[in-house]
Amino acid sequence: MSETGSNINPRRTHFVFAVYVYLILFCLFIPVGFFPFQQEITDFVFKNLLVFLSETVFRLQLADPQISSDSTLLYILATLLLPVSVVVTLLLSFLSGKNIAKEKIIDLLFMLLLLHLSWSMFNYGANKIFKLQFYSPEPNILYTPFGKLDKDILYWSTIGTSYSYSLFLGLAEVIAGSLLLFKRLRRVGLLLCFFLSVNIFAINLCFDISVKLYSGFLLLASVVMILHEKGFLTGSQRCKLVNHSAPDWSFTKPYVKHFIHLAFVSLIFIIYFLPAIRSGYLNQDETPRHPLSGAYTVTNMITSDSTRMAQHIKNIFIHRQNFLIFQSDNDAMQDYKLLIDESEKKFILTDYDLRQTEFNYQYSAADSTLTLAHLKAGHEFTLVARALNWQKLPALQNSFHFTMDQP
Amino acid sequence: MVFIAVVSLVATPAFSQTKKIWHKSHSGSNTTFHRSLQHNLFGIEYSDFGLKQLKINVESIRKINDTCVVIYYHRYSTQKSKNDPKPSSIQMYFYGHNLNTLQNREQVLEWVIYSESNGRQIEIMNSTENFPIEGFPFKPRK
Repeated sequence: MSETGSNINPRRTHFVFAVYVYLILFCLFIPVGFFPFQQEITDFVFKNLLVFLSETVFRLQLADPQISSDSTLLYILATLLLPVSVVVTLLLSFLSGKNIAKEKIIDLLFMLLLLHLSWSMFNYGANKIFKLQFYSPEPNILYTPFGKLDKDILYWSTIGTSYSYSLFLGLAEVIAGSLLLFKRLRRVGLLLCFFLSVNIFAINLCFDISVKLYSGFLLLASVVMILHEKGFLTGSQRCKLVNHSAPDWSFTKPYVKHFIHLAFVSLIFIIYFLPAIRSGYLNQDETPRHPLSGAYTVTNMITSDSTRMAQHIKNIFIHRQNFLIFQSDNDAMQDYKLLIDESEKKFILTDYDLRQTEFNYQYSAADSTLTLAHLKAGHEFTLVARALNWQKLPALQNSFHFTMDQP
Repeated sequence: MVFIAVVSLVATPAFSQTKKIWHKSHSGSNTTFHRSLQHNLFGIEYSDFGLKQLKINVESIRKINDTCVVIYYHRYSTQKSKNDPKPSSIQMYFYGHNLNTLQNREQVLEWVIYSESNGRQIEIMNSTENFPIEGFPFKPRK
């Protein structure tokens, strides 16, 4: 034991302090929705400075700078938090004085980081359990040739075809998040978080999914906390697994600790689990779709304007999130925001220049035929399309075989 | 109970993903992605970090009579586009003939946003009996 009464090697104290300060600042200012109005607070505190830094230091002209997942400003913010954490560490070190006080602050920071990691596991886990994250691919994706899909949407859609796998991943994350809340099971929870984070980080890197920075943070946080739990980080002189004093809410009364855990779990349940349970749709892929949503193959196309629609449209897709997508013969896709006005039997299409086009529509249930007609300035455009049985596609079937040679 | 109801209304389940994946999920191209990102078009602002970023709260839905409901919603914007207004709350009347477009909360929000941006009120539904008055997508009652 050192002269200050601390069990931590004093030379490592500041380093550990700085690491935790950086990680906590990351939790506070990376706008992942950890608490309400986190995005607004981050924008208010950092956005102007980050834009200034991006233009002056990094010589980048961003068309519409945003602090969002894997945006340029987010990377600059993550970099900026390094010197900020050094300053905050020096300030806290000066205010805290003795090493024994620093140990208590490090314990507090550890527990706050633990709550964030647990929250993250619960949040992402619930999204997977209720099929909110990896949702079933829509018809426009199903009818896009494999080679024409980017890797990220390809991966996302592939995982979305299996409810059981999404459920498995979600349960693993929820279990990891739960284990973190019990001191005796925390190491198991941290190890599980570590393996899950490694997998997620690798997937994001290899499939170019734009959550690389945040998943990297979760991996780093898991590693740091595992090392701390085992005493390696602090270089504790009692660095034996049996005798090592793991961080805990030791600086507060037991009933406060129990209240924090209870409130945390209750909020998690109310926010992320209760709404889906109340709705009766545990698999959000099964929420009602508009009757017209789906896939249609064009059987007839009439246009009096030869300069428009030069390419023949072969398929039409109505996306459940209100998009209409035309697929041409060469598999090029053109998407429009769709609003279905059932009172006037109109499809109102909005393009990315916010120009609107209206189609009159008619659907015949007898032969599953959708007719779209557009008449403007003397130009007529009519599409007749027959509904495709897209839900019978092999990718959406729940096939399972123990043996490879049985039908 | 009120707290649970309020929090339940806030936590609207919807597809969670990144902005790029959201855009590509409806066959958006790389060209239109930057435009969509720049102007927060078509719900791209609701996706981030692989999660849903709730930007609109449907506060409550009140039945007025058999042909009319009032939807109270609060919209707050964090990454608003340059031309995007930012009302704090608004009251809309929905009445009409077909329930199908209001089977879930996403459809409700779409109609609210559309009618708000176009300055007109949309006639939609014919009956409130199956409509999720409490604002969350329940399974249709038989």
